[in-house]
Amino acid sequence: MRAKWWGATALSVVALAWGGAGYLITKPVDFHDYRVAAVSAAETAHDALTTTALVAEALEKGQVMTPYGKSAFDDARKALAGGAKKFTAIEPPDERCERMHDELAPLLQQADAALTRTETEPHAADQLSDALERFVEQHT
Amino acid sequence: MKRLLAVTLGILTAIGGFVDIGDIVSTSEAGARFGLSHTWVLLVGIVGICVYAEMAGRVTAVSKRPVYDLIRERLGPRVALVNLLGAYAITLLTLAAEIGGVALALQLLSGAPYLLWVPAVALVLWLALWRVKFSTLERIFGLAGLSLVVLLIATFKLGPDFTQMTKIAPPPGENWPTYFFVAIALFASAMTPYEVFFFTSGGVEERWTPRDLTLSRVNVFLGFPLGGLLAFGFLATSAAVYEPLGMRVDTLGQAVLPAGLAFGQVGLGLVILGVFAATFGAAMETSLSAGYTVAQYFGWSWGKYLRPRQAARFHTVVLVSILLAVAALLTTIDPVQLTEYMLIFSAIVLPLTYLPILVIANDRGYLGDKVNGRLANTLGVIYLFVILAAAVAAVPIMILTGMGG
Repeated sequence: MRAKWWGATALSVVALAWGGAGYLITKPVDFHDYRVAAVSAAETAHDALTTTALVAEALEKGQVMTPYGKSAFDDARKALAGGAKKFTAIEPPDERCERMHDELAPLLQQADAALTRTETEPHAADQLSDALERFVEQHT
Repeated sequence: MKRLLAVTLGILTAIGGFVDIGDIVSTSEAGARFGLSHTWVLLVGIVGICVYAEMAGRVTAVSKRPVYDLIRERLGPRVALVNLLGAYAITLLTLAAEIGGVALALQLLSGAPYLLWVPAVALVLWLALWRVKFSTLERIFGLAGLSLVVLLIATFKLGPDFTQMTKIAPPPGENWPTYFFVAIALFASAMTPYEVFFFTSGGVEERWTPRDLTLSRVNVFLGFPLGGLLAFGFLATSAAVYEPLGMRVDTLGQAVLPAGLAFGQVGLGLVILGVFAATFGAAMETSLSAGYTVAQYFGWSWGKYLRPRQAARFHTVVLVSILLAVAALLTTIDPVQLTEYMLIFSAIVLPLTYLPILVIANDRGYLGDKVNGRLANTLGVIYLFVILAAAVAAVPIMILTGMGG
Protein backbone atom coordinates (compact mmCIF):
# COMPACT_ATOMS: atom_id res chain seq x y z
CA MET A 1 0.00 0.00 0.00
CA ARG A 2 2.84 2.32 1.02
CA ALA A 3 4.77 1.50 -2.15
CA LYS A 4 1.67 2.28 -4.25
CA TRP A 5 1.25 5.61 -2.48
CA TRP A 6 4.89 6.52 -3.14
CA GLY A 7 4.56 5.38 -6.73
CA ALA A 8 1.46 7.50 -7.30
CA THR A 9 3.10 10.54 -5.69
CA ALA A 10 6.25 10.15 -7.77
CA LEU A 11 4.18 9.75 -10.97
CA SER A 12 2.12 12.84 -10.13
CA VAL A 13 5.25 14.91 -9.52
CA VAL A 14 6.79 13.75 -12.80
CA ALA A 15 3.54 14.44 -14.69
CA LEU A 16 3.28 17.92 -13.15
CA ALA A 17 6.91 18.70 -13.95
CA TRP A 18 6.56 17.56 -17.57
CA GLY A 19 3.24 19.37 -17.91
CA GLY A 20 4.77 22.58 -16.56
CA ALA A 21 7.81 22.26 -18.80
CA GLY A 22 5.56 21.53 -21.81
CA TYR A 23 3.47 24.62 -21.09
CA LEU A 24 6.56 26.83 -20.77
CA ILE A 25 8.03 25.51 -24.02
CA THR A 26 4.86 25.73 -26.14
CA LYS A 27 3.22 28.91 -24.84
CA PRO A 28 3.08 31.68 -27.48
CA VAL A 29 5.70 34.44 -27.35
CA ASP A 30 4.47 37.60 -25.61
CA PHE A 31 6.03 41.05 -25.16
CA HIS A 32 8.00 39.96 -22.10
CA ASP A 33 9.51 36.92 -23.86
CA TYR A 34 10.41 39.02 -26.89
CA ARG A 35 12.01 41.73 -24.75
CA VAL A 36 14.09 39.11 -22.89
CA ALA A 37 15.25 37.59 -26.20
CA ALA A 38 16.12 41.01 -27.65
CA VAL A 39 18.06 42.09 -24.56
CA SER A 40 19.90 38.77 -24.51
CA ALA A 41 20.87 39.14 -28.20
CA ALA A 42 22.06 42.72 -27.62
CA GLU A 43 24.09 41.65 -24.58
CA THR A 44 25.65 38.79 -26.52
CA ALA A 45 26.61 41.13 -29.38
CA HIS A 46 28.01 43.68 -26.92
CA ASP A 47 30.05 41.04 -25.12
CA ALA A 48 31.35 39.58 -28.40
CA LEU A 49 32.52 43.00 -29.58
CA THR A 50 34.09 43.91 -26.22
CA THR A 51 35.86 40.56 -25.90
CA THR A 52 37.20 40.85 -29.44
CA ALA A 53 38.44 44.37 -28.69
CA LEU A 54 40.14 43.25 -25.45
CA VAL A 55 41.84 40.28 -27.13
CA ALA A 56 42.85 42.32 -30.20
CA GLU A 57 44.47 44.93 -27.96
CA ALA A 58 46.22 42.22 -25.94
CA LEU A 59 47.48 40.64 -29.18
CA GLU A 60 48.87 44.00 -30.30
CA LYS A 61 50.74 44.33 -27.01
CA GLY A 62 52.01 40.73 -27.21
CA GLN A 63 50.13 39.77 -24.02
CA VAL A 64 48.44 36.71 -25.54
CA MET A 65 49.50 34.00 -27.97
CA THR A 66 48.23 33.92 -31.57
CA PRO A 67 46.37 30.56 -31.25
CA TYR A 68 44.62 31.94 -28.17
CA GLY A 69 43.60 35.05 -30.13
CA LYS A 70 42.27 32.96 -33.01
CA SER A 71 40.26 30.79 -30.63
CA ALA A 72 38.84 33.79 -28.74
CA PHE A 73 37.82 35.47 -32.01
CA ASP A 74 36.10 32.25 -33.15
CA ASP A 75 34.20 32.04 -29.86
CA ALA A 76 33.06 35.65 -30.19
CA ARG A 77 31.91 35.10 -33.80
CA LYS A 78 29.98 31.97 -32.81
CA ALA A 79 28.36 33.72 -29.85
CA LEU A 80 27.28 36.68 -31.98
CA ALA A 81 25.88 34.43 -34.73
CA GLY A 82 24.05 32.27 -32.16
CA GLY A 83 22.51 35.26 -30.40
CA ALA A 84 21.38 36.88 -33.65
CA LYS A 85 19.94 33.60 -34.93
CA LYS A 86 17.88 33.11 -31.78
CA PHE A 87 16.57 36.68 -31.99
CA THR A 88 15.63 36.59 -35.67
CA ALA A 89 13.90 33.22 -35.24
CA ILE A 90 11.20 34.87 -33.10
CA GLU A 91 8.39 36.74 -34.84
CA PRO A 92 7.52 40.02 -33.09
CA PRO A 93 4.09 39.39 -31.49
CA ASP A 94 2.89 43.02 -31.49
CA GLU A 95 3.72 46.57 -32.62
CA ARG A 96 5.92 47.41 -29.62
CA CYS A 97 8.00 44.34 -30.38
CA GLU A 98 8.23 45.29 -34.05
CA ARG A 99 9.68 48.66 -33.03
CA MET A 100 12.15 46.86 -30.81
CA HIS A 101 13.03 44.57 -33.71
CA ASP A 102 13.58 47.53 -36.05
CA GLU A 103 15.85 49.12 -33.47
CA LEU A 104 17.99 46.06 -32.75
CA ALA A 105 18.19 44.22 -36.10
CA PRO A 106 20.40 46.88 -37.80
CA LEU A 107 22.70 46.97 -34.76
CA LEU A 108 23.16 43.21 -34.94
CA GLN A 109 23.92 43.41 -38.66
CA GLN A 110 26.50 46.12 -38.05
CA ALA A 111 28.01 44.08 -35.23
CA ASP A 112 28.53 41.16 -37.58
CA ALA A 113 30.54 43.34 -39.97
CA ALA A 114 32.33 45.25 -37.20
CA LEU A 115 33.55 42.12 -35.46
CA THR A 116 36.05 41.25 -38.22
CA ARG A 117 37.30 44.85 -38.30
CA THR A 118 37.76 44.88 -34.52
CA GLU A 119 40.17 41.93 -34.75
CA THR A 120 42.74 44.28 -36.33
CA GLU A 121 41.47 47.67 -35.09
CA PRO A 122 40.51 47.16 -31.42
CA HIS A 123 38.52 50.40 -31.12
CA ALA A 124 36.67 50.14 -34.44
CA ALA A 125 33.37 49.15 -32.84
CA ASP A 126 33.40 51.28 -29.69
CA GLN A 127 30.39 53.38 -30.77
CA LEU A 128 28.41 50.35 -31.81
CA SER A 129 29.23 48.68 -28.52
CA ASP A 130 27.92 51.75 -26.67
CA ALA A 131 24.73 51.71 -28.77
CA LEU A 132 24.13 48.07 -27.83
CA GLU A 133 24.73 48.88 -24.18
CA ARG A 134 22.18 51.70 -24.38
CA PHE A 135 19.66 49.32 -25.96
CA VAL A 136 20.14 46.88 -23.07
CA GLU A 137 19.74 49.65 -20.47
CA GLN A 138 16.59 51.00 -22.16
CA HIS A 139 14.85 47.65 -22.32
CA THR A 140 15.90 46.06 -19.05
CA MET B 1 59.15 16.11 1.17
CA LYS B 2 57.34 12.80 1.68
CA ARG B 3 54.91 14.49 4.08
CA LEU B 4 54.34 17.31 1.64
CA LEU B 5 53.55 14.83 -1.12
CA ALA B 6 51.16 13.01 1.20
CA VAL B 7 48.69 15.90 0.99
CA THR B 8 48.48 15.78 -2.81
CA LEU B 9 45.28 13.70 -2.61
CA GLY B 10 43.56 16.60 -0.86
CA ILE B 11 45.09 19.12 -3.26
CA LEU B 12 44.07 17.13 -6.34
CA THR B 13 40.56 16.51 -4.99
CA ALA B 14 40.11 20.14 -4.09
CA ILE B 15 41.58 21.60 -7.26
CA GLY B 16 39.54 19.17 -9.35
CA GLY B 17 36.46 19.85 -7.23
CA PHE B 18 36.69 23.61 -6.90
CA VAL B 19 38.35 24.53 -10.17
CA ASP B 20 36.73 22.23 -12.69
CA ILE B 21 35.42 23.64 -15.94
CA GLY B 22 31.98 24.40 -14.50
CA ASP B 23 33.43 26.29 -11.56
CA ILE B 24 35.88 28.20 -13.71
CA VAL B 25 33.17 29.55 -15.97
CA SER B 26 30.46 30.00 -13.31
CA THR B 27 32.87 31.69 -10.89
CA SER B 28 34.16 33.98 -13.63
CA GLU B 29 30.58 34.72 -14.69
CA ALA B 30 29.71 35.56 -11.07
CA GLY B 31 32.69 37.92 -10.87
CA ALA B 32 31.85 39.64 -14.16
CA ARG B 33 28.19 40.22 -13.28
CA PHE B 34 28.20 40.57 -9.51
CA GLY B 35 31.75 41.66 -8.68
CA LEU B 36 33.01 40.18 -5.42
CA SER B 37 29.57 40.05 -3.81
CA HIS B 38 29.47 36.23 -4.01
CA THR B 39 32.69 35.78 -2.02
CA TRP B 40 30.63 34.70 1.00
CA VAL B 41 29.21 31.78 -1.02
CA LEU B 42 32.71 30.50 -1.68
CA LEU B 43 33.44 30.74 2.05
CA VAL B 44 30.21 28.91 2.95
CA GLY B 45 31.07 26.25 0.36
CA ILE B 46 34.63 25.80 1.63
CA VAL B 47 33.48 25.34 5.23
CA GLY B 48 30.69 22.99 4.10
CA ILE B 49 32.92 20.70 2.06
CA CYS B 50 35.55 20.72 4.85
CA VAL B 51 32.91 19.66 7.42
CA TYR B 52 31.64 16.75 5.31
CA ALA B 53 35.00 15.72 3.81
CA GLU B 54 36.46 15.55 7.34
CA MET B 55 33.57 13.29 8.39
CA ALA B 56 33.96 11.15 5.28
CA GLY B 57 37.75 10.96 5.69
CA ARG B 58 37.33 9.91 9.34
CA VAL B 59 34.79 7.25 8.36
CA THR B 60 37.25 5.89 5.79
CA ALA B 61 40.33 6.00 8.02
CA VAL B 62 38.56 4.24 10.92
CA SER B 63 36.46 1.70 9.01
CA LYS B 64 39.02 1.30 6.17
CA ARG B 65 36.07 1.31 3.79
CA PRO B 66 34.88 4.04 1.42
CA VAL B 67 31.76 6.00 2.29
CA TYR B 68 29.64 4.69 -0.55
CA ASP B 69 30.22 1.10 0.49
CA LEU B 70 28.93 1.95 3.98
CA ILE B 71 25.94 3.90 2.66
CA ARG B 72 24.75 0.77 0.89
CA GLU B 73 25.30 -1.39 3.96
CA ARG B 74 23.79 1.07 6.44
CA LEU B 75 20.79 2.31 4.44
CA GLY B 76 20.02 -0.78 2.43
CA PRO B 77 20.18 -1.43 -1.31
CA ARG B 78 16.99 0.48 -2.25
CA VAL B 79 17.93 3.83 -0.73
CA ALA B 80 21.50 3.35 -1.90
CA LEU B 81 20.24 2.68 -5.44
CA VAL B 82 18.50 6.09 -5.52
CA ASN B 83 21.74 7.60 -4.26
CA LEU B 84 23.72 5.67 -6.89
CA LEU B 85 21.50 6.77 -9.78
CA GLY B 86 21.60 10.44 -8.75
CA ALA B 87 25.34 10.47 -8.08
CA TYR B 88 26.24 8.50 -11.22
CA ALA B 89 24.16 10.72 -13.51
CA ILE B 90 25.75 13.88 -12.13
CA THR B 91 29.22 12.34 -12.22
CA LEU B 92 28.77 11.30 -15.85
CA LEU B 93 27.60 14.79 -16.84
CA THR B 94 30.57 16.26 -14.99
CA LEU B 95 32.95 13.84 -16.69
CA ALA B 96 31.67 14.93 -20.12
CA ALA B 97 32.10 18.57 -19.14
CA GLU B 98 35.64 17.97 -17.84
CA ILE B 99 36.79 16.16 -20.98
CA GLY B 100 35.32 19.10 -22.91
CA GLY B 101 37.19 21.47 -20.57
CA VAL B 102 40.55 19.79 -21.23
CA ALA B 103 39.82 19.96 -24.96
CA LEU B 104 38.92 23.66 -24.65
CA ALA B 105 42.20 24.36 -22.84
CA LEU B 106 44.07 22.62 -25.66
CA GLN B 107 42.10 24.66 -28.20
CA LEU B 108 43.32 27.86 -26.52
CA LEU B 109 46.92 26.67 -26.82
CA SER B 110 46.72 25.25 -30.33
CA GLY B 111 43.92 27.13 -32.08
CA ALA B 112 42.50 23.78 -33.32
CA PRO B 113 38.77 23.20 -32.63
CA TYR B 114 38.10 21.50 -29.30
CA LEU B 115 36.02 18.72 -30.84
CA LEU B 116 39.15 17.45 -32.59
CA TRP B 117 40.85 17.13 -29.20
CA VAL B 118 37.98 15.29 -27.47
CA PRO B 119 38.79 11.71 -28.65
CA ALA B 120 42.53 12.22 -28.00
CA VAL B 121 41.87 13.54 -24.49
CA ALA B 122 39.56 10.59 -23.75
CA LEU B 123 42.18 8.11 -24.97
CA VAL B 124 44.96 9.66 -22.87
CA LEU B 125 42.61 9.78 -19.88
CA TRP B 126 41.75 6.12 -20.20
CA LEU B 127 45.40 5.11 -20.69
CA ALA B 128 46.43 7.17 -17.65
CA LEU B 129 43.77 5.51 -15.49
CA TRP B 130 44.68 2.10 -16.85
CA ARG B 131 48.47 2.27 -16.65
CA VAL B 132 49.68 5.05 -14.37
CA LYS B 133 49.93 4.71 -10.58
CA PHE B 134 47.35 6.55 -8.49
CA SER B 135 49.98 8.43 -6.50
CA THR B 136 51.78 9.55 -9.67
CA LEU B 137 48.55 10.92 -11.14
CA GLU B 138 47.78 12.74 -7.90
CA ARG B 139 51.15 14.41 -7.78
CA ILE B 140 51.41 15.42 -11.43
CA PHE B 141 47.94 16.96 -11.70
CA GLY B 142 47.60 18.19 -8.12
CA LEU B 143 50.90 20.06 -8.30
CA ALA B 144 50.49 21.32 -11.90
CA GLY B 145 47.09 22.71 -10.89
CA LEU B 146 48.93 24.92 -8.41
CA SER B 147 50.09 27.09 -11.33
CA LEU B 148 46.63 28.70 -10.99
CA VAL B 149 48.17 30.61 -8.10
CA VAL B 150 49.12 33.11 -10.82
CA LEU B 151 45.48 34.25 -10.74
CA LEU B 152 45.72 35.14 -7.06
CA ILE B 153 48.77 37.29 -7.77
CA ALA B 154 46.97 38.78 -10.79
CA THR B 155 44.09 39.71 -8.48
CA PHE B 156 46.30 42.18 -6.66
CA LYS B 157 47.75 43.55 -9.88
CA LEU B 158 44.34 44.06 -11.50
CA GLY B 159 42.79 45.40 -8.29
CA PRO B 160 39.07 44.59 -8.12
CA ASP B 161 36.86 46.56 -5.72
CA PHE B 162 37.52 44.58 -2.53
CA THR B 163 34.83 46.50 -0.62
CA GLN B 164 32.24 44.49 -2.59
CA MET B 165 33.23 41.42 -0.55
CA THR B 166 31.10 42.66 2.34
CA LYS B 167 28.07 43.57 0.20
CA ILE B 168 25.71 40.60 0.11
CA ALA B 169 23.42 42.03 -2.57
CA PRO B 170 23.17 42.21 -6.34
CA PRO B 171 24.69 45.31 -7.95
CA PRO B 172 22.44 47.79 -9.83
CA GLY B 173 20.99 46.23 -13.01
CA GLU B 174 20.89 42.72 -11.53
CA ASN B 175 18.10 41.14 -9.45
CA TRP B 176 17.85 38.91 -6.38
CA PRO B 177 16.60 35.72 -8.10
CA THR B 178 19.57 35.77 -10.50
CA TYR B 179 21.90 36.55 -7.59
CA PHE B 180 20.60 33.47 -5.74
CA PHE B 181 20.71 31.34 -8.88
CA VAL B 182 24.44 32.06 -9.20
CA ALA B 183 24.88 31.53 -5.43
CA ILE B 184 23.27 28.06 -5.65
CA ALA B 185 25.47 27.13 -8.62
CA LEU B 186 28.61 28.25 -6.76
CA PHE B 187 27.59 26.42 -3.58
CA ALA B 188 26.77 23.24 -5.52
CA SER B 189 30.11 23.42 -7.30
CA ALA B 190 31.92 23.49 -3.95
CA MET B 191 29.93 20.52 -2.64
CA THR B 192 29.86 18.32 -5.78
CA PRO B 193 29.22 14.71 -4.63
CA TYR B 194 32.05 13.13 -6.61
CA GLU B 195 34.57 15.02 -4.46
CA VAL B 196 33.60 12.97 -1.39
CA PHE B 197 33.42 9.66 -3.24
CA PHE B 198 36.80 10.29 -4.85
CA PHE B 199 38.43 11.54 -1.67
CA THR B 200 37.30 8.60 0.47
CA SER B 201 37.96 5.99 -2.20
CA GLY B 202 41.38 7.60 -2.68
CA GLY B 203 41.92 7.21 1.06
CA VAL B 204 41.20 3.50 0.77
CA GLU B 205 43.55 3.28 -2.25
CA GLU B 206 46.24 4.87 -0.08
CA ARG B 207 45.38 2.38 2.70
CA TRP B 208 44.51 4.91 5.38
CA THR B 209 44.14 3.54 8.90
CA PRO B 210 43.05 5.28 12.14
CA ARG B 211 46.68 6.41 12.42
CA ASP B 212 46.17 8.48 9.28
CA LEU B 213 43.36 10.57 10.77
CA THR B 214 45.70 13.55 11.03
CA LEU B 215 46.83 13.08 7.43
CA SER B 216 43.19 12.95 6.33
CA ARG B 217 42.43 16.16 8.22
CA VAL B 218 45.49 17.93 6.84
CA ASN B 219 44.34 16.92 3.35
CA VAL B 220 40.89 18.35 4.05
CA PHE B 221 41.83 21.54 5.85
CA LEU B 222 44.70 22.40 3.51
CA GLY B 223 43.41 21.08 0.19
CA PHE B 224 39.84 22.36 0.12
CA PRO B 225 40.54 25.92 1.29
CA LEU B 226 43.35 26.03 -1.28
CA GLY B 227 40.93 24.94 -4.01
CA GLY B 228 38.46 27.59 -2.84
CA LEU B 229 41.18 30.22 -2.88
CA LEU B 230 42.06 29.38 -6.48
CA ALA B 231 38.37 29.61 -7.41
CA PHE B 232 38.37 33.05 -5.76
CA GLY B 233 41.19 33.97 -8.18
CA PHE B 234 38.81 33.48 -11.12
CA LEU B 235 36.05 35.41 -9.35
CA ALA B 236 38.28 38.34 -8.47
CA THR B 237 40.15 38.69 -11.77
CA SER B 238 36.87 38.60 -13.72
CA ALA B 239 35.42 41.17 -11.33
CA ALA B 240 38.42 43.40 -11.99
CA VAL B 241 38.41 43.14 -15.79
CA TYR B 242 34.84 42.47 -16.91
CA GLU B 243 32.53 44.04 -14.33
CA PRO B 244 33.54 47.63 -15.17
CA LEU B 245 32.87 46.86 -18.86
CA GLY B 246 29.37 45.54 -18.08
CA MET B 247 30.23 42.20 -19.68
CA ARG B 248 29.27 38.59 -19.14
CA VAL B 249 31.65 35.65 -19.26
CA ASP B 250 30.54 32.56 -21.17
CA THR B 251 33.74 30.96 -22.40
CA LEU B 252 36.95 29.55 -21.01
CA GLY B 253 38.91 31.95 -23.21
CA GLN B 254 37.32 34.92 -21.45
CA ALA B 255 37.89 33.37 -18.01
CA VAL B 256 41.66 33.05 -18.50
CA LEU B 257 42.25 36.36 -20.31
CA PRO B 258 42.77 38.45 -17.13
CA ALA B 259 45.96 36.48 -16.39
CA GLY B 260 47.28 37.51 -19.82
CA LEU B 261 46.32 41.13 -19.23
CA ALA B 262 48.16 41.07 -15.90
CA PHE B 263 51.32 39.11 -16.77
CA GLY B 264 51.38 38.70 -20.55
CA GLN B 265 51.95 35.39 -22.32
CA VAL B 266 53.69 33.81 -19.31
CA GLY B 267 50.68 34.51 -17.11
CA LEU B 268 48.26 33.28 -19.74
CA GLY B 269 50.36 30.15 -20.38
CA LEU B 270 50.51 29.36 -16.65
CA VAL B 271 46.79 29.77 -16.14
CA ILE B 272 45.98 27.61 -19.18
CA LEU B 273 48.39 24.95 -17.84
CA GLY B 274 46.58 25.18 -14.50
CA VAL B 275 43.19 24.84 -16.17
CA PHE B 276 44.47 21.86 -18.17
CA ALA B 277 45.75 20.16 -15.01
CA ALA B 278 42.63 20.99 -12.98
CA THR B 279 40.18 19.80 -15.64
CA PHE B 280 42.23 16.70 -16.45
CA GLY B 281 42.45 16.01 -12.72
CA ALA B 282 38.68 16.48 -12.44
CA ALA B 283 38.17 14.17 -15.44
CA MET B 284 40.25 11.52 -13.66
CA GLU B 285 38.33 12.02 -10.44
CA THR B 286 34.96 11.76 -12.13
CA SER B 287 35.85 8.71 -14.24
CA LEU B 288 37.20 6.93 -11.19
CA SER B 289 34.23 8.07 -9.08
CA ALA B 290 31.86 6.62 -11.67
CA GLY B 291 33.68 3.29 -11.36
CA TYR B 292 33.96 3.53 -7.56
CA THR B 293 30.25 4.14 -6.91
CA VAL B 294 28.98 1.42 -9.25
CA ALA B 295 31.57 -1.16 -8.13
CA GLN B 296 31.05 -0.37 -4.44
CA TYR B 297 27.26 -0.63 -4.80
CA PHE B 298 27.44 -4.06 -6.44
CA GLY B 299 30.25 -5.26 -4.18
CA TRP B 300 32.79 -5.79 -7.01
CA SER B 301 36.54 -5.54 -6.63
CA TRP B 302 37.61 -2.01 -7.35
CA GLY B 303 40.50 0.40 -7.25
CA LYS B 304 43.68 1.32 -9.00
CA TYR B 305 45.79 -0.49 -6.42
CA LEU B 306 44.50 -3.74 -7.92
CA ARG B 307 45.68 -4.90 -11.33
CA PRO B 308 43.10 -4.17 -14.04
CA ARG B 309 42.53 -7.92 -14.47
CA GLN B 310 41.61 -8.21 -10.78
CA ALA B 311 39.08 -5.36 -11.04
CA ALA B 312 37.86 -5.92 -14.58
CA ARG B 313 34.25 -4.77 -13.95
CA PHE B 314 35.44 -1.60 -12.23
CA HIS B 315 37.68 -0.73 -15.19
CA THR B 316 34.86 -1.57 -17.61
CA VAL B 317 32.55 0.92 -15.88
CA VAL B 318 35.31 3.55 -16.06
CA LEU B 319 35.82 2.88 -19.78
CA VAL B 320 32.09 2.85 -20.58
CA SER B 321 31.63 6.10 -18.65
CA ILE B 322 34.42 7.76 -20.63
CA LEU B 323 32.87 6.53 -23.90
CA LEU B 324 29.42 7.82 -22.89
CA ALA B 325 30.94 11.19 -22.02
CA VAL B 326 32.71 11.39 -25.39
CA ALA B 327 29.50 10.44 -27.19
CA ALA B 328 27.67 13.25 -25.38
CA LEU B 329 30.35 15.77 -26.36
CA LEU B 330 30.41 14.67 -29.99
CA THR B 331 26.75 15.69 -30.28
CA THR B 332 28.40 19.20 -30.24
CA ILE B 333 26.73 20.13 -26.97
CA ASP B 334 28.59 23.09 -25.45
CA PRO B 335 30.67 21.80 -22.48
CA VAL B 336 30.24 25.10 -20.65
CA GLN B 337 26.45 25.02 -20.91
CA LEU B 338 26.53 21.38 -19.91
CA THR B 339 28.29 22.26 -16.67
CA GLU B 340 25.83 25.06 -15.93
CA TYR B 341 22.98 22.52 -16.03
CA MET B 342 25.10 19.98 -14.18
CA LEU B 343 25.69 22.37 -11.28
CA ILE B 344 21.99 23.03 -10.80
CA PHE B 345 21.03 19.35 -10.99
CA SER B 346 23.93 18.61 -8.68
CA ALA B 347 22.32 20.90 -6.10
CA ILE B 348 19.20 18.72 -6.26
CA VAL B 349 21.02 15.48 -5.46
CA LEU B 350 23.30 16.92 -2.74
CA PRO B 351 21.07 15.74 0.16
CA LEU B 352 21.29 12.16 -1.17
CA THR B 353 25.05 12.27 -0.63
CA TYR B 354 25.43 14.28 2.54
CA LEU B 355 22.57 12.98 4.71
CA PRO B 356 23.91 9.39 4.66
CA ILE B 357 27.41 10.62 5.53
CA LEU B 358 26.03 12.42 8.58
CA VAL B 359 24.14 9.27 9.61
CA ILE B 360 27.19 7.02 9.24
CA ALA B 361 29.52 9.47 10.99
CA ASN B 362 27.26 9.09 14.07
CA ASP B 363 27.20 5.29 13.98
CA ARG B 364 29.33 3.78 16.76
CA GLY B 365 29.13 0.41 15.00
CA TYR B 366 31.48 1.79 12.34
CA LEU B 367 33.38 4.53 14.13
CA GLY B 368 33.52 3.49 17.80
CA ASP B 369 34.68 6.49 19.83
CA LYS B 370 35.55 8.43 16.65
CA VAL B 371 31.91 9.36 15.96
CA ASN B 372 31.00 13.01 15.38
CA GLY B 373 31.51 15.36 18.29
CA ARG B 374 29.14 18.20 19.13
CA LEU B 375 30.83 20.69 16.79
CA ALA B 376 30.84 18.33 13.79
CA ASN B 377 27.17 17.47 14.37
CA THR B 378 26.09 21.09 14.82
CA LEU B 379 27.88 22.16 11.63
CA GLY B 380 26.71 19.02 9.84
CA VAL B 381 23.06 19.68 10.65
CA ILE B 382 23.29 23.39 9.79
CA TYR B 383 24.84 22.52 6.44
CA LEU B 384 22.27 19.84 5.83
CA PHE B 385 19.59 22.54 6.07
CA VAL B 386 21.57 24.77 3.69
CA ILE B 387 21.93 21.84 1.28
CA LEU B 388 18.19 21.06 1.50
CA ALA B 389 17.31 24.71 0.89
CA ALA B 390 19.58 24.81 -2.18
CA ALA B 391 18.11 21.53 -3.46
CA VAL B 392 14.52 22.71 -3.09
CA ALA B 393 15.16 26.16 -4.57
CA ALA B 394 17.36 25.02 -7.49
CA VAL B 395 14.74 24.14 -10.13
CA PRO B 396 12.15 26.87 -9.40
CA ILE B 397 14.85 29.53 -9.44
CA MET B 398 16.33 28.07 -12.62
CA ILE B 399 12.93 28.38 -14.35
CA LEU B 400 12.23 31.79 -12.83
CA THR B 401 15.51 33.27 -14.06
CA GLY B 402 15.75 31.34 -17.35
CA MET B 403 19.06 29.73 -16.27
CA GLY B 404 20.31 32.94 -14.69
CA GLY B 405 19.71 34.96 -17.86
